[in-house]
Formats: sequence, C-alpha cells, structure tokens
Amino acid sequence: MPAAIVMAQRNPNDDRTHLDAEQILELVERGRRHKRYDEYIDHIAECAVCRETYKQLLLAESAGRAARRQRTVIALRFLLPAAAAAMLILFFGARALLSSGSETAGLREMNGVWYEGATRLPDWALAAATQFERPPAPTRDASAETPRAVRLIRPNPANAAVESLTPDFQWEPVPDAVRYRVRLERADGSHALNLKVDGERATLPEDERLEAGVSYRLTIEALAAEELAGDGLKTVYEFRTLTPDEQQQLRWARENRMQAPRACAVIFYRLGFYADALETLDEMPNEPIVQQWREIIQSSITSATVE
Amino acid sequence: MRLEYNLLGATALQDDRGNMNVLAQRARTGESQAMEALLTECRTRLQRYFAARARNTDDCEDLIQEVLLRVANALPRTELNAPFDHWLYRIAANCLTSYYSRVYRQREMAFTQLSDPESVANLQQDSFEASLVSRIAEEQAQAALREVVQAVCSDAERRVIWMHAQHETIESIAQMLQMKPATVRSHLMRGRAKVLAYLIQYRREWLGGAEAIQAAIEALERDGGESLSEAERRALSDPKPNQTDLRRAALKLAKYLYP
Repeated sequence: MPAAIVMAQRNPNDDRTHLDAEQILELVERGRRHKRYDEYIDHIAECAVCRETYKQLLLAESAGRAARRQRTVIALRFLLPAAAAAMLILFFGARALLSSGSETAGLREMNGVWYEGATRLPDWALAAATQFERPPAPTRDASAETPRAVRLIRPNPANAAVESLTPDFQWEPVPDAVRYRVRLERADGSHALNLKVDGERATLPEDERLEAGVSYRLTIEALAAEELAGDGLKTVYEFRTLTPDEQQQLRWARENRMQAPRACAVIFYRLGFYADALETLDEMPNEPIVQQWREIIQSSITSATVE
Repeated sequence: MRLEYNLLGATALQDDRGNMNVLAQRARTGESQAMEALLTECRTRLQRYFAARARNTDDCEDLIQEVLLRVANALPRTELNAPFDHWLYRIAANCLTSYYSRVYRQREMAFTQLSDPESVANLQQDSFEASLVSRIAEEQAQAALREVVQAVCSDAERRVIWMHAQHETIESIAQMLQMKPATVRSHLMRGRAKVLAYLIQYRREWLGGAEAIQAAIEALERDGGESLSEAERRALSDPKPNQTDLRRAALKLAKYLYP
C-alpha cells in the first residue's frame, strides 16, 4: 500500500508511534476546539492505525448524536400536537366559561348583556357594533373634492360635528387677505350672527352659544385690501352640534375606543366625528371590512362640508 | 497515569498503556491472572467512555459487559494489528453504534450524508497521489514528494491529500476533518493542482519529462476533454511564478500524466 511506503515507517504494535486511544477520544469529543487539534489530526492524516480508531470512535459519536436528535424529533412529534390540543382546549374552555350565550362577529352575549372583548356595550353601542358588519354605501366619490379658499384648522374640518357649544374657529391665513368676515347661521336660515374676528380666529359674541342638536353653516370670507364685504373669497363649512345624549355617546366612545373598536368606530361615524372614526380604524387589523369602512368615512369627510 | 499491578507481582510502576499492552500479550498466551487484570483496567476505561453515552446506568453496565466479553473471547485468537487500547476502543465504539441503532430503533447510518454523491463518486477513483507514490519507488523520492506537499499545500489540503492517497473516501475524510464533502473535494483539487504545478515546473522528471507532458496534452485532445487554453499552454511550456494557469492546466492533464 503506497501510504505504508510514503509515510513514516510505523510498527502497528509499537505504541510509541501512535496516539493514545484516549487522546483520540478526546479529539473526537472536542473536535477543532481541542488545543492540540492540528498536531493530532496531522498524525491521524498519516497514521492508518490511529485513523482507523479515530474513524470508529467518530462513527459511534455521530450515531449517538443522530439517535438523540431523532429521539428529540419523536418527542416533539408527540408533544407538539399534545401541547397544541391542550392550548385549544384551554382557549375554548375559557371562552365557554366566559360565555353562556350567543356570539357573533367579535361580540358575545352573556346573561343578556353584550360585550365587545371585555367591554360591556350599552344598547346604543350594541346597535353600532352590529352595524359594523353592515357598512353603508359611500356617500360621495372622494376624488370629487374641490380645493377650498379658506382652510379651516379648528374645529377639525374632517368632522361634520362640533363638540363644544361655544366653538373657537381658526383657519389658515389666505395670501393677500387683509381681513376676514365670518358669519354663522342655522342651516335652515332662521338665525344668523357675525362672529368676532381676531386675525385668523373667530369666536361667538359674548353671551351667545350654539343650540344643541342643530345644524349650522359657517361662512368665512377672505378680503383683500380693496375688496368690499361680499366680494372676497368665501368658504362655507357645515356642521352640527351634538345633543346631550350624543355628547355622552361621544365621551363613551372616546373612553372605550381601544377596547371596543367596532362599536366606537360606528358611533364616531354616526356622530360625524370622522377623524376619530379613522383613528379607531387605524388601530384595527387591516381586514376587508375595516378597509371598507375607511373608504366610507373618507368619502363622508369630503361631503361633510360644501363650498 | 501510572498504575501498580500487585496481582501480577509486578512491583514496578509501569506506564499505563504499556502495561495494558504487556497484559494483553500475556493474556493472549493464556495467563488468567493477566486477563483478569487486563479486564479490570479495561472496565475503568469503558466505564468512563460509556457513562456519558448510554441512556442509563443499566445500559452502561450492559455495554461494559458486552465489550469485556468480546475482549475475553477474541483476544486469545487475535493477532493485534494496533495497540491494545486502540483495539479496545474500536470494539467499544462498535458496540455503542449497535446499541444506538438497537435502542433508538434506528437503521445503521451512512458515514456522512453526501450533498453531491456523483461528484464524490468521481473523485473516489484511484487517487492520483497514490498512483504517483507507487511509481516513485525510491524512498528518497517519496520523502521529496512529501516535502513538496508540505511546502506548497495548506494544512487542510495536505491532510486531505494524504488521507486520499491512503484510499480514504471523500466522505470519510469529510467526517474526520469535520468538513463538508464538497469542501474536502475543493481542498483535494486545489492541493492536487498545486502539487502538480510544482512538479511540472520544478520536477518534470518525476512525471516522465517534457515528452510525457506533451503526450498527456495529446491524450487530452484525443479524448475530447476540456481543452487547454492558450494561456494554459504557455504556462505549461514556460511556467511563471504566478501559477494560476499552470495549475488549471495541471488539473486537466492529471489523469493523463499517469494513465
């Protein structure tokens, strides 16, 4: 055999020319981490006797590793389904314990009381939550929006309603405008008043307050230096005020929007608080129904105010 | 580690391993006391080996008994071709492999799982180095070849080349060096190219001289193998310090240099 010729002449029984079997075993156990790896492996590369021992010890070691790995896999094969089954039982068991009644689309009923998640829903909130599954048709194509001459900043122009009965109106400055004229009237035209203007802000006259549950029309006119009242750029916003019940619903929805997002999103929508409705939808998983609601509310924002 | 064997009346402390070999020789001739002492020493070693590998102490003890039984039965009729401790551990490893396969109900494993069996199979043909070694009959020339390998190859290439020259398979080398078979193959090819390039450049006479190289080129062309590029031809006729082309050419010619 060539190796026997080319390598150092070794007597197989002369143990002085070979590694100790335990040294080889140590190499098998530690591999490249062995501090004398290079020295030992160089010897093994040339010594057929030590190499044969090394190979057999390696073979046993790798068989052991493979067996242990297989054992782990087998154990996992049984344990994982068992664990999954236990989790399912636990999950459904807990739900069954919590619920003795019916359940639908994120809502559950227990002893005649409806919940969204863990939040108890008042009747009006339940109706809203139920409506979440049946969104209305969009009111207007969002692309039809026209730019406004005067852009309202406050109250939020995305909303179709104002919370306060003594609102403070604020808008972005209009180029060339030296003064503004702001007029507020009931949508039915029965009552009108001029607001007190200070720069780009307007407030109700003292001792005046809006009537709850009424629609109003706000007209802001930006006048250039030579322009007379009525000749300037006009923008009209429409909004309505909330009734006391609606005020209560709004407060409830703002408090529970994270716990009962379905009900709250619809309540905000119904009240005309579209910005709040969108914020609530943004916290929910992006499911088709949520996307549908987002489109509806976007279209409502553009149609909420008209010029 | 040194042990004292009072049982045999040997009062002098002897080297542990040497003592085992002596005991084994005496046990082979039928000395029962020597066999008993040998098995006692074997038990200590086997205990260490199996304790960390068997599932429990019962299995460990069974394995020890099995190995000791095999040693006691086989030793009197076996001509040892390795030191006794190697022989012992080979038996132990063998028993352990069977144990794993039995206990875990697993079929015997291949030495390694090859990622590219075909390419490895090609490489398992006769080793060029083995062929070269067998042709260089003089001991002096063999030592010179050894020096060449030592000088031009990296550690990994050198180890792979020597093992392959001794008819170790690629997968076996991969297992021993803890490499992937493909990596072993790369080392082998790279090392082989380096050695051949060196021989072509500095030791042409070992390969049969310029005529043999020319004959190898013609044989390559006749066989329709991957032909030599112009740069490779130039490198063969006029080797430069940069051996890239020469190595490539050497690899293409390898099997024709020693048909």
